[in-house]
Amino acid sequence: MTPLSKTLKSILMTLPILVGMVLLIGLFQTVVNPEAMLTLFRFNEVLNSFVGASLGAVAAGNPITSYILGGEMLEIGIGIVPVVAFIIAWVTVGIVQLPAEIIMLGKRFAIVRNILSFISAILIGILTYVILQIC
Amino acid sequence: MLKKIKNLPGAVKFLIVVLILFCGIGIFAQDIFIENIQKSFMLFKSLVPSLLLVFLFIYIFNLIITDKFVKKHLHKNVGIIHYIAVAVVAILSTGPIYMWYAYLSNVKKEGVNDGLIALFLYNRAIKLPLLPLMISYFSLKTTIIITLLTLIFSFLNAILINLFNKQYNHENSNRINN
Repeated sequence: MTPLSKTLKSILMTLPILVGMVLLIGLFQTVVNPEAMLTLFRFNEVLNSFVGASLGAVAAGNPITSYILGGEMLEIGIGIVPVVAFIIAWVTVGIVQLPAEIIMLGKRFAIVRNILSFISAILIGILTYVILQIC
Repeated sequence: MLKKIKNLPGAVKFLIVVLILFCGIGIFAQDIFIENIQKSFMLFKSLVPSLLLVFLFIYIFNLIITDKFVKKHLHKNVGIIHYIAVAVVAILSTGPIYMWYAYLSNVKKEGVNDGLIALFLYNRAIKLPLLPLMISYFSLKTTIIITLLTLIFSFLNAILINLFNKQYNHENSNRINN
């Protein structure tokens, strides 16, 4: 198989995934109001971190939105740990993208990677808080 | 008919499920359907330049990197330099993550280890062009801390995924032997 035919085969394999993903993300952006997400942070710091990472995991779209929402979260008094967990999970965990990731990279890999990324998002939030306290 | 659907590639099945979902939305909530189509079209338009870049990457990969090269450099003898190089490429790469799945699927089939793929995916979280915006929302100090921690955790994730794989393969081979 030549490099060109290999590439064309990859493109053909990707197109259904890409079209499906674009439609799903479009649907997410149409149905979910990002501002409404902020009302879910009404627990203590520990649970809020879990809520932050979970919302980041299910959210999809440009990371700019996560920064804007993160800024608003800080302004209304939500702690740095949930905010960091939220913005990190937004870019590292992808529940909407999970079916595509499973098809392209394998079920075990996709699930393990997303779980590890979810835990990492909360840990990065905690460590950011600790380092900010020290520095 | 069911047999035919069963034999379809996973990617096509995925698209069929999404299209069925959309047909449902089109029947029961036409306003959401129309808004969604408009948003999806705009999204797709914005993806075209990055998409071309990904396809170019796949072509270059297929052209330059042979099976022999991958087996020699990226399969078993992966050193820290390879990990750092992959992290740098991931940080510099553009476009949404799902566009890179095809490229990563390609390199995975060639034998590149899962740790390197996880490292690439994690480092896509560091968005250099968005750092000024991040600084304006979270301060310079917080942005530096978050960015460095993201980089450190990308390596930890890669190591953990490789360890999981080792453990899984070990248990699998034990099961087969028994």
